[in-house]
Amino acid sequence: MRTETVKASSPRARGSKPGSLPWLLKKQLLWQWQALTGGQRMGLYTALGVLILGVVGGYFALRSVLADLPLNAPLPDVALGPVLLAQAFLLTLMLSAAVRASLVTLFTRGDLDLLLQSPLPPRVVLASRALGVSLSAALPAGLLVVPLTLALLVLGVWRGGVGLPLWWLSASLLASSAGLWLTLGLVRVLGVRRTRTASAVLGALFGAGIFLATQWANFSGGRGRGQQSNAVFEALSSFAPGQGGWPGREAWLWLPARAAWLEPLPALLLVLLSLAVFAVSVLALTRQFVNGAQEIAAPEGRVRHSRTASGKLRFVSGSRATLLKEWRLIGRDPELLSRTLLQLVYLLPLLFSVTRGGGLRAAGGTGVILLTASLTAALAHLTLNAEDAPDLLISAPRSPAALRRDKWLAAVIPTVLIGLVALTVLALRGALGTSHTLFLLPLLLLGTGGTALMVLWQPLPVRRADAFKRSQRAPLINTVLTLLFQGGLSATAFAASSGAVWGLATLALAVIALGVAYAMRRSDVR
Amino acid sequence: MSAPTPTTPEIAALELRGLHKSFAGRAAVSGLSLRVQPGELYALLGPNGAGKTTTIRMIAGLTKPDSGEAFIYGHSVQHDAQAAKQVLAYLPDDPLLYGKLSAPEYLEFVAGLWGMDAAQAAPEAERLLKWLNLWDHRQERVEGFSRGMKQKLAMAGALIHRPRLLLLDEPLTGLDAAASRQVKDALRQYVDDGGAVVLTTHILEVAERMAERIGIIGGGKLIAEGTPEELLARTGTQTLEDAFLSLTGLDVPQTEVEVL
Repeated sequence: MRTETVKASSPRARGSKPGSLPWLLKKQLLWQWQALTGGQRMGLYTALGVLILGVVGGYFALRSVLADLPLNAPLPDVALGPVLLAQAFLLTLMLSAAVRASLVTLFTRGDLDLLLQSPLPPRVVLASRALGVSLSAALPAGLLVVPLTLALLVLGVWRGGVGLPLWWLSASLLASSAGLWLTLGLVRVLGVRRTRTASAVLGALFGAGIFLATQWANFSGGRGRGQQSNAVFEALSSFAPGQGGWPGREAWLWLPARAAWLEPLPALLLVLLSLAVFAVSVLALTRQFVNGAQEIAAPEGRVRHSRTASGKLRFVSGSRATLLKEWRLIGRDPELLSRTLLQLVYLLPLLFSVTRGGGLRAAGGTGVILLTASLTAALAHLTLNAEDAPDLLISAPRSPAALRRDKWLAAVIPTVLIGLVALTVLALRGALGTSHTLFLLPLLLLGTGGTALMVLWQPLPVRRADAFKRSQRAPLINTVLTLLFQGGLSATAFAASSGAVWGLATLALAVIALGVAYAMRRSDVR
Repeated sequence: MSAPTPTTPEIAALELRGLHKSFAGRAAVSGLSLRVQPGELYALLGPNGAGKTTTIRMIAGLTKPDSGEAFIYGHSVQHDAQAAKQVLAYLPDDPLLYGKLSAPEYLEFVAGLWGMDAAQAAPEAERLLKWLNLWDHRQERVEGFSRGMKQKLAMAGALIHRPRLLLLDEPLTGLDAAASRQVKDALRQYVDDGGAVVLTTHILEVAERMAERIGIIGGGKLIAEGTPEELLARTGTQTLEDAFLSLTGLDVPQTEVEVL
């Protein structure tokens, strides 16, 4: 067989040398941009629109704030504390984004096999991926930093206009380095798959924790709110160089804030530090990166066992087989389970706000109806929409209507049971009267069953792993109808606690919403 | 492998009458008609994009044909889908399984879909898992299985309800030599017991050694059909590979071979 050396027939491409870090980085950035915008020009226009709005908003917001500051001199001591706190907040956002991006960028196979089997040094592959992580880390904070920077430049504040983006880029390098160490460390201890799950669960818990903290006033019923605010204000105003036990201006602590206002030495130190940390991280972590990438290509180290009997097999048939399958799939996926349950956390402040003053009687009944209906919506989305083997179901002789019924039951049965237990406990503790409890029972059945029906009538097929991605959300009209239905029933439950007649009106509203959803049901589920 | 229920010989296991399917104005399958008898293994060959998978998916009821009809043991897939699907099993080339289930749990669900009684399904699942060397892995979740193990589990799922017609899209993909041999022997036994198999494969040796008849499609049309010997005689070639390349017009020009 004759071999020939293939020579590029086209003129030498302009730009970076193929196989070099800039070449790979260029490709990586292009793919990231395409993933971000979905390859649509509309994505670019939206980004530009948001940017312009941000600049205009930033201009008017900064104009008054900056009026009292010496614009082209170093930041005064009094401003260092607030700036540093804002930087800490942005850095937290960046670190959170960096950990998420590290897992995706480093260990989503995609082109990883191709890159690692190519003659490119693994160090170059990791460096390009790490810079991609930096970009991902920079993006959330960039929504604030870029418009502010442009607004500062428009206002002629060149120190902030140059210093702020310099700090931003340095911080993103530091955040991505920390994200890489954290991710690869977790991967070493837990393995890739478990790290992915742990990161998703912790991320959801972290988000819910922040949300609940911001809603503390709702839980505390507003008592002592003024006193709390004063204490927080005092603590913040003493966070400045040389005050309240904090070190002087020249201390390392204030370096990021001073760098953001382009004080030469702090800015230079920050840039050099971030570049050094990034470079050292890439060099030190290359071996671990390659090991981790090899791990995802191999079967899972530790085999996950299910509770299948070790002896003779015992099966169930018909609908029970479908119910078991759905519950097993949900129960064995900690990420989906945590996301499903955490959706309820976001309803708690609303519940406390609405039922404040009504006591346990109002909060308990309303809460059971609202939370079980919301939980049903999440479960029904998983059982009815998130089907991993749709071809198997279509090619089976079991009628689609029977399958839909089984999947509907798989979502409704657990939430009805939870609701029944909750109502029983509340009734036994004397929080709910007998007649009130009996009135809530049909509301519980209607709320859970109706919510699952609304999901069934508007199927939104999705891969199970993508079930809670933002892009997979239902159309707006479905969301509105679901909110009206669940809100109407919850309001009826609330009204029932005091015997208010207006509860009948909200019940009617809920039933109308259910009726509209039925009328709008998709033709393939009729 | 257990014998399918005997059938009357005059009813074809599979009959396609003028199946047609277009995607975005381009015909993927164009007026395809063929018959497969019970006790026959029929191999559907064709180059990439010839319409093999579209045909199989139309037979399985996964893709609706624009026109034409498919019959499985006399039941129209379009008009009597439930009866047609009851005797059919479809194994795609890349079967999607439930990663969080174990192999017996997956088979339990599949048996439930086909309406099998639990008391009948459990021993059948045990038999299949042992036969396919998956019994020792019965407590492991499918997500930890290798590609070959997944393929074997999908095969078990296809066989558990004792179908009378098997549709197999590249069934040997990902299987090691032993498993591949196992599956080939099982298919042979299944066909000898009266079952019918339609399979697509890129491995022409498999088609040549196993198939009673071979259908070659190109551009969505059946361009040749017959026993391996008939195809060789018709093209005047020595091997099925040469016959296939000759019929599909995929002959590699000699000049290109030289360059390689």
